[in-house]
Amino acid sequence: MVWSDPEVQKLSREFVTVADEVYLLYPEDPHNLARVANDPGHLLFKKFGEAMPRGAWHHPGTKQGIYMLGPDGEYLEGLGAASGDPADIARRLRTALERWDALRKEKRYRNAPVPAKGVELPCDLDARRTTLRVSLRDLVGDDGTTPRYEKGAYDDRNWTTWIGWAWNQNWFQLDDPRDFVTDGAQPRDVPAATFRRLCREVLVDNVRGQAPHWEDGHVQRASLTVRRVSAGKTWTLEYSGEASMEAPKAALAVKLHGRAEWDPAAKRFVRFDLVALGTRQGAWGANQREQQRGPSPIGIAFRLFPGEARTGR
Amino acid sequence: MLVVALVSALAGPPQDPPPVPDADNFRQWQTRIEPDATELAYLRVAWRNEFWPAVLEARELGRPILFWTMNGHPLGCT
Repeated sequence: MVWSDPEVQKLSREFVTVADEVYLLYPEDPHNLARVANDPGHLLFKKFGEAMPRGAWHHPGTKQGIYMLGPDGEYLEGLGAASGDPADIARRLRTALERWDALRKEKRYRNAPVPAKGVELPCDLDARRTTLRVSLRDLVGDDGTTPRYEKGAYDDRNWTTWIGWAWNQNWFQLDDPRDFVTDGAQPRDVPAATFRRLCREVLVDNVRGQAPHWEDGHVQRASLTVRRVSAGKTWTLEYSGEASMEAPKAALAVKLHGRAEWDPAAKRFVRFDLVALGTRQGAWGANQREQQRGPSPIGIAFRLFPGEARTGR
Repeated sequence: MLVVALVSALAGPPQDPPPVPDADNFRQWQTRIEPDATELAYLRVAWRNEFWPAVLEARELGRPILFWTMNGHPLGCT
């Protein structure tokens, strides 16, 4: 919970703050590294990394980490890893600002105030489409509780403790929101192709780290029905279903239930709440499940992305 | 045989059946699964979501950059 720390947040306001995927900026494999060889962002990040103290720049290898740099890639501070230690990051931020104070005078940077703005979320979504925020976490810890971060309970500076309270969020965009709508009281199937895409893309176990989309052949069962339970200015819709995906390395099976409010005049959702509960098992390369292959319970919740109610086509 | 025993050990003991969502409980499960305000406090940092535009902004302002980068976009944009 480094970024939730008040001191880290206060210090971060002195910087232009940015979060991005490292593999696209500095791939580890030679083929993709060659593809970005002339990319200005890659070149600036490379310049910065090569100015880090000996041993601090992980090369070859992943460049994931937390870095502080000048606008021309000058080294200020950096850590080539994730961190669970707010005090360490606050110390590095203060060191970076001390070095910045000298650098800005030397290079006569403007040092204009960083404008206050909200976080940019998410980065690759089409603002015209209905968007669901997908949250997921383990339901039951080894001690029988639902894991959730508590200040002090996990602050032992061992970075792996985060898996005890891990949660994650994904995003899902609907091609056509009307796929999830009916004017009938009897259940009808959400189109198979629509629900299968949802299953493949976001009914995945990336609570603790990256997991790939399921391949179409991994989907064993995928069924979601919708029925209208009340009609007025908005319609109340109810969903029920199940899904099961199985690959050689991992599997996930859930049952789903939820409700939504649809505005038939505006042809848009004004609320969408759907929950999937079930079990996951197995491990992918980067989802930190090697020591907890399960089966174990997992919960996945869908909610209309706030303020993003979009009109159907 | 040893390999089979190891795989079985990693799979762990049998678990109780998972909970089933229904009309009465799904909103409670939704609340339980979604992050709370404490967990979303990291959004109080004004993260830009692409490196190079942030560099250009930092150059325009003449300010330093705080860069958080991971395998998998830290803001869940993968």
